[in-house]
Amino acid sequence: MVTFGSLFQALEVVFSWPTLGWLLIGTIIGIVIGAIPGLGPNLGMAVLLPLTFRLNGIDAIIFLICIYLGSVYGGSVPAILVNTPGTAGAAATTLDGYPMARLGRAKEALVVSATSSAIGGILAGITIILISPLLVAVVLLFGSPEYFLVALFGLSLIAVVSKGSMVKGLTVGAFGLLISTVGYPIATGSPRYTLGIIELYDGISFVAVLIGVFAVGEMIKLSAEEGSIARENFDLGGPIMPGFRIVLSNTRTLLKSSFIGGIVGAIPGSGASISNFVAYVEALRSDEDSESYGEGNPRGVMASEGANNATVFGALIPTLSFGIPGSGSTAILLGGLLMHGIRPGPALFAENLYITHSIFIGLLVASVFILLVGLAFLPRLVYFTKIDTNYLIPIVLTLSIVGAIGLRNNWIDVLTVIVFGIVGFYMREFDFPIIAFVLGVVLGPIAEENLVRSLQISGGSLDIFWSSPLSILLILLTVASILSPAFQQSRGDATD
Amino acid sequence: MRSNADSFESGLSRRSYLKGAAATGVGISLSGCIGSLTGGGEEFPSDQLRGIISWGQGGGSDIYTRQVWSEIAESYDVSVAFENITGAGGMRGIRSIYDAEPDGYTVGIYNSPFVVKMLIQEPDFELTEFEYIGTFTASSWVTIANPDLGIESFDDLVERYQNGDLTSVAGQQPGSPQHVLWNVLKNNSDFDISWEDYVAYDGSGPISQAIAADEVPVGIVTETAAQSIVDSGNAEVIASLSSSGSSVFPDLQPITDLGYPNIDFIGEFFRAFIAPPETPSDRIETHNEALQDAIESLESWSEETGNPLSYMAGPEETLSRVEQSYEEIPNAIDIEALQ
Repeated sequence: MVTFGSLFQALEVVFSWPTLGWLLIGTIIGIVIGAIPGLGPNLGMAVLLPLTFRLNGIDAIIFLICIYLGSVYGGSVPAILVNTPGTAGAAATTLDGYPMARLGRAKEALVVSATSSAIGGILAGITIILISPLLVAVVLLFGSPEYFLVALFGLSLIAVVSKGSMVKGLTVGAFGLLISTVGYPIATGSPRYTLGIIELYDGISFVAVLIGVFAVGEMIKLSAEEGSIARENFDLGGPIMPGFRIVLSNTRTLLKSSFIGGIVGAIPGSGASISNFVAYVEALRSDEDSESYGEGNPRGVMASEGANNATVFGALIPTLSFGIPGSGSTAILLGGLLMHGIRPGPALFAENLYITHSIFIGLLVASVFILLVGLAFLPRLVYFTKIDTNYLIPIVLTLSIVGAIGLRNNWIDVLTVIVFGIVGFYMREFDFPIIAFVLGVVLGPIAEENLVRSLQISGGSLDIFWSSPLSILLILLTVASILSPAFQQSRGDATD
Repeated sequence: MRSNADSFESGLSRRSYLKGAAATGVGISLSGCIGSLTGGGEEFPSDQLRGIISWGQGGGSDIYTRQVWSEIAESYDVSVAFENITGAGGMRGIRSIYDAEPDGYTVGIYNSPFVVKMLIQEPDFELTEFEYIGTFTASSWVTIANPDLGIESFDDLVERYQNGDLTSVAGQQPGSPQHVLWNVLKNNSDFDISWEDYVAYDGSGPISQAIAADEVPVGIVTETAAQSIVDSGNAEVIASLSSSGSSVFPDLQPITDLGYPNIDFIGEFFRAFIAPPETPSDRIETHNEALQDAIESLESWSEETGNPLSYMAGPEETLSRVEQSYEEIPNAIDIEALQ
């Protein structure tokens, strides 16, 4: 399937100078901006985009995409150390990474994160390169009904994460959906629940919601505690091998997460902010020790990190094949492509395949570089977990607020961070499943937009949702996901 | 209209006047008066420029603004800070430009389809109040179709909708220029295209994908957005909705050549640079000259990247095109239905 001529041409491009230099610089910049909450890939890429003008087209694109990949990995660092996802794609990493830090296992979590990110990305990249000539045809299999069913499948995972109380899960899931309805829906073009406030026309930013729920919510909780984040003593200079071994001994979780990341990334409008949760929930669902998730299970970190870097590879498929940006970062990348005269289109998977291969091979090399940096330098950052919370809380709160302003230059985002910080704090206090809430917020717009559009196309007939084999498969997956908690419970009862 | 300050300066170049005034040591109070007109009695521009982009990073408006104003700032030997103030379909950014100090240091970009947003949202200001620096690019809207349908011409397309063979068309959300075009072509008896079902997508990319996948038979996109999908054979271009045809598809017939009415007030997409209302006209003129020079300097960039760039209209002509859109669009669509 793979075209070797373009592959060799791409290898030559990537390993030439200065392309390799831009690749390494982009990755380092990405890791740094990803690791600083509030900066993130969008801001970093936007600021650096005009500076790429003097580079040749492929160098510029590799530079930008490596910033994106590096930042998605870098986002895991504050997620693990201070429960503040540096990027939305690392939000699920907080769920087990941060509890590991509290248990004095931050270094292990950072190593697991670096290894999973790199390997997850590499697996997705190799797969995509191998099937690249077929990708346009694969993309065309997905229409509005299929996108709706994928979102519905994601929402059905609320049933999986609502262990303990289904009512609480459904309540916060519905609350998340409700929040996502604010703003201008694509289908009608009329503002909804905006109260006449122009800043609400584009809706409530789910990234601001995530910053609030995870970072601010946790800081409110920490403010009642003395000492530092790490409640257990640990050795700052400990070995990195234990974390490395954890990843290598859980290849199934990693493979699944990488696959989920690649697939979800290819769905327009989703991206790493969704894939990390979907992979996390799948790891939780299929793990015999699912009760330990949320308490510091490294497989939780693996799942999230294995998926989010793979998402970068997947997200490039609609961006390059049809110019469909799946996220803010790919929108900027799309701008970079156009600025440098590279027009996205099916030709990038046919006669200009070497450009696409160069980008993917560049990302593979960057993934290896991430592994090296992640193992050699970043574990030293565990020192952050020993900082007194009296110093740490103001720093994280400031970064959260500044980050909120940086999202869209919109004061509503600052308010969102504060309000959802309080909401997140009480959700934790009263054991509401935060993942269910996040799934509602993030998947709501995709589900709504594609549902309405599908019905517009079919003239209101629901038949459109089972008109293709892919749709039927997605429906079966959704039904299985909804029934799986009941099935597992009945199996458990029978065993007892 | 030129200001009093400009009349006062007649016969002298603006820069030489300012240098002269400074050299002769005019009294402090007089300097203050001049300062109020010319920005502190210094050569304009002497400070950092502020470029407000009302749409997201990486979009066409972002690319053009950053590219052109970086070039202009370099020619002025000053820096420029760009701000993407997005939201409400560009309204937040345009509002920021409107509210900015009219000292010539704040500039922004305007897209012609934004008129529709203004008509729908009805803010407490008008686009005609802004100062226009110049129009620097224009492109046309085109109709594209799935190639398997074998649509031969725009007449053939119209006929298929009239026969009921086709019913739906893809565009962006209600209130977008595509939606206005859909209304215009449906409601104007000279076109009489009975395309009843409008299917809204979130951008030209998803529309192209939908056409290629045959989810919707026909779509309306800009000529530049259509280029790659048409080149790959996954869609074919049917007609240009602008009377000037298409620079991307030179062989494409404009609908006016086929005897249909001119709908350039919405069929043509142009971009212009603007400044806050009441920005002194001499400063607008300075920017206009710098814009023309920048467009010349960026010719190779334009050719290499396929981002069309040419000086198309000065301040007055740009304003008159905006006024025309303001007048004609409400006649073509029911604005109230979109509010």
